[in-house]
Amino acid sequence: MISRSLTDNRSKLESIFSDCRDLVMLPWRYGTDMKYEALSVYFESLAEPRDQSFMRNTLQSMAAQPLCSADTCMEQTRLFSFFEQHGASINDGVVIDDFQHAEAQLLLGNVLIFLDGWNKAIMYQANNVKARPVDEPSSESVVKGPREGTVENMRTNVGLLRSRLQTSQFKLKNVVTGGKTHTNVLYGYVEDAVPPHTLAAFMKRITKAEEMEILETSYIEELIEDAVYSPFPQHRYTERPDSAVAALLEGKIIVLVEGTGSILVCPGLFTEFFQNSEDYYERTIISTFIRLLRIIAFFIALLLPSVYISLSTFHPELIPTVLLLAVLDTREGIPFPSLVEAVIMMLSFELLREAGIRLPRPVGSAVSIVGALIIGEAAINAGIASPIMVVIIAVTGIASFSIPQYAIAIALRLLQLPLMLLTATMGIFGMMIGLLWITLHLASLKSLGQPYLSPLAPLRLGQLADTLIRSPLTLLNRSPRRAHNRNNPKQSS
Amino acid sequence: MNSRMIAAALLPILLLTGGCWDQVELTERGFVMGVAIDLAANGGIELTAQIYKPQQKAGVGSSNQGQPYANITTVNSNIFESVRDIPTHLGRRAQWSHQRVILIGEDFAKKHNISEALDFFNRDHEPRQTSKIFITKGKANQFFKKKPLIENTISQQLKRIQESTAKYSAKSMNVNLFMLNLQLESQTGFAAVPYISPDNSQDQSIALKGLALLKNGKMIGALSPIQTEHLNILLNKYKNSIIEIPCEQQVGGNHPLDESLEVVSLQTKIKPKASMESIRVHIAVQIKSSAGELLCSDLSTTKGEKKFIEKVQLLVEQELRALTDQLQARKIDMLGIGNQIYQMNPRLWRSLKPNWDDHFQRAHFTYDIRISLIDTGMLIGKSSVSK
Repeated sequence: MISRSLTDNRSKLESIFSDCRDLVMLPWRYGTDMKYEALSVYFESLAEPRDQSFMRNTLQSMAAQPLCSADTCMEQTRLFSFFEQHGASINDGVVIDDFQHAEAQLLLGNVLIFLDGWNKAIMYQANNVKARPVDEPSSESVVKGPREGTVENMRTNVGLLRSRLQTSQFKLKNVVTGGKTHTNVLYGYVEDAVPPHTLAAFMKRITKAEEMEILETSYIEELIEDAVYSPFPQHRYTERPDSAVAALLEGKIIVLVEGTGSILVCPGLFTEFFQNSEDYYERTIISTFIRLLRIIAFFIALLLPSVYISLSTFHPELIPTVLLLAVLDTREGIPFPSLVEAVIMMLSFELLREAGIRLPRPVGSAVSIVGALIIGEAAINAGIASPIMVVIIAVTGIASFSIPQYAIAIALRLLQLPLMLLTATMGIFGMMIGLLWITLHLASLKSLGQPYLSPLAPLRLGQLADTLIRSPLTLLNRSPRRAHNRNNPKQSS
Repeated sequence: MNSRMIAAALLPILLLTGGCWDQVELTERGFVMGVAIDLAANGGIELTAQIYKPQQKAGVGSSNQGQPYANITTVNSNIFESVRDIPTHLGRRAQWSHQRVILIGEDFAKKHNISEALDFFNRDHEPRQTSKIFITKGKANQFFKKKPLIENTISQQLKRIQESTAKYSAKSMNVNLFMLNLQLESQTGFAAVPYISPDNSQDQSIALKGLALLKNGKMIGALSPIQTEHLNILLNKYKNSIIEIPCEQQVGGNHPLDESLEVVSLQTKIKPKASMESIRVHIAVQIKSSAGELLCSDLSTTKGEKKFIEKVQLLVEQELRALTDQLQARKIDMLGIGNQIYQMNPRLWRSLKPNWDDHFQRAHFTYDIRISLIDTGMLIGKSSVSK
């Protein structure tokens, strides 16, 4: 409870926030002859500098200009009731009487004003951590379509979504997370569109977040994931509000975390990782072609090195003769088996990629030049790798980059190596065993209760129009009402 | 539980080791491009395999390394033993699945049934049924010593020669191992195989000498390239070629060059009517053609065109008749008439078969040649050579 005595309050605050150098406690006076004491408390690192003294100024100006002639006019009691009835409402001040609440508000960056002789405090919002302005999303750039991307500030993000989704059906719920961070986590959905069982599963799992320190959206992803050890991502991210709104309309649940730029879309299904918001902004046959291309890229990224190894070590009769002669010419004089050759090239490619991501930009370009020389030219001249293997690893790498969702590209690169080992020992049969294993895993995987491979398995023909191909918009079900009915046929009228 | 864990651990080992012994790197194999079968001096089989020698392109030492092939000759009494002897010379395991050609020496083909040599290639899982077959004048392995003109190896060049010639000039036939087997196993037992000889007039070159004719697997004769063209017409295997038409000698003029017609499409139907007494064969040929070279004929009028066509029809009939007459005289049923009779009337064939050579010789042939001219190539339907 907040004490009536200002000195008590002050000492209590000082003991709680001892050694917090950025806490400012500013005592001041007001009233006729400056006879009343007051105290402003705020974190200078969190509060807007201009706003820190706004309320104080207001009070002082109120006291300096007598509203009435008698000197009892600016009496404390009248002032208190003035605030309690929300008299000064230029900036939305709130009267609070709980000390723990006051403490929490301080940490949020709000300004508290304690008045002597009053067991309450005035709080107003002055939170102003410097935030990045709305910018083009760097991880999902498009040629066509909106160029707004989400930022670290959650309120801005919600605004970007609300302005695109002007319906009361768009619900946003708060999750109180625990620990020391108290990160604000919101999840939203369109009530009509989301399948109830998915929402129920989500709500059950999100409660785990209440005891966790949530620093980034991916913490939430891992908490609600079905299979943590699967290489395949079961939820996807977007930095594009238009993409998030489209997901909401399709019955997805989105999660926003204060301080993180990306929006988590759950559940993520396998086929959605081959889609991009731009698919809907381009003409239908172009989008369809690109989607098919991505599926080809998926198989190239997963299988090309394995196919080469199996053909060259087990089944050379399957290579066209003229190509075989060309391959023979390039392979002659390479001391390593093709598996070792492939692993060397793949590892050096992965190293190069990893080095390129983490390094500062000026150094990064040097890495790419050296890497291109080493992989492209020197490795061949040194007799470590054959040109055909360089081509294969390069095509594999490019194919994995052409899949719009980065998470699945990494999954593919993880699966390449086991598949290569299998093919190097058993040829094409090994590859089949590996593919079978992957297919079994995918078919048994579920994301928030939804089959991961749907609508491919279980097959839903109606939904295939927006899976492998992109049908014209008039044929697609974008209305949440219909999407809802589709998911719950029994509830439709 | 524990035993299940052990089983789970052993299963991958079982699977992994199960495949490993089939694993052979490309650099541990020698790819056989072509194989030549000759009669050895001791009466056995002299097998020469042309093996592709990779031109090292990666790493150091990628300079000029000579010809991209190595020829290995082994002598044995059968093919398989000779095949297994290749690594003793080469040091690499021979891989047969990219074999382009099988060359069979004339001496061998005249003395042995070539099926004896081909049995290995039919039975083993690596060699392909699509390998092209040639019979060679002289020793077969002499061709492997020739330098290819464009292709990497002479084997590849021979394969391309057979394909392109059959397609564009009809002076040869596409005969691969599978088709040869079909011919050898047919009722009459006659087979035709492209016949080549070294061309000594042009260095390093190969001359296509038409077809070698086989009966029951043994070579009994040959046809010239022009006869091959006519045989292709009769067998409806004629894809695309030229009909040459001689110009009449003009009074006081030099001997003129030949005119030519390009055949656009050709369809032949052979209809035999057979009984124990007589065999009648009707041959209907439909040719669509366009003018290739016009030197002396005038097609600008309907009358001139009709005259020209009649002339060509007669010419084609004469040529075909000359071939069938010769085949009849040599008792070689290359037209597959016996096979057709077998298909239509097996019972009759059974009684005809023992004396089929004589029946064929007495067969009566009638011809119906129809030629249509669809294009003269230019707006003027006569020679563009100004007089």
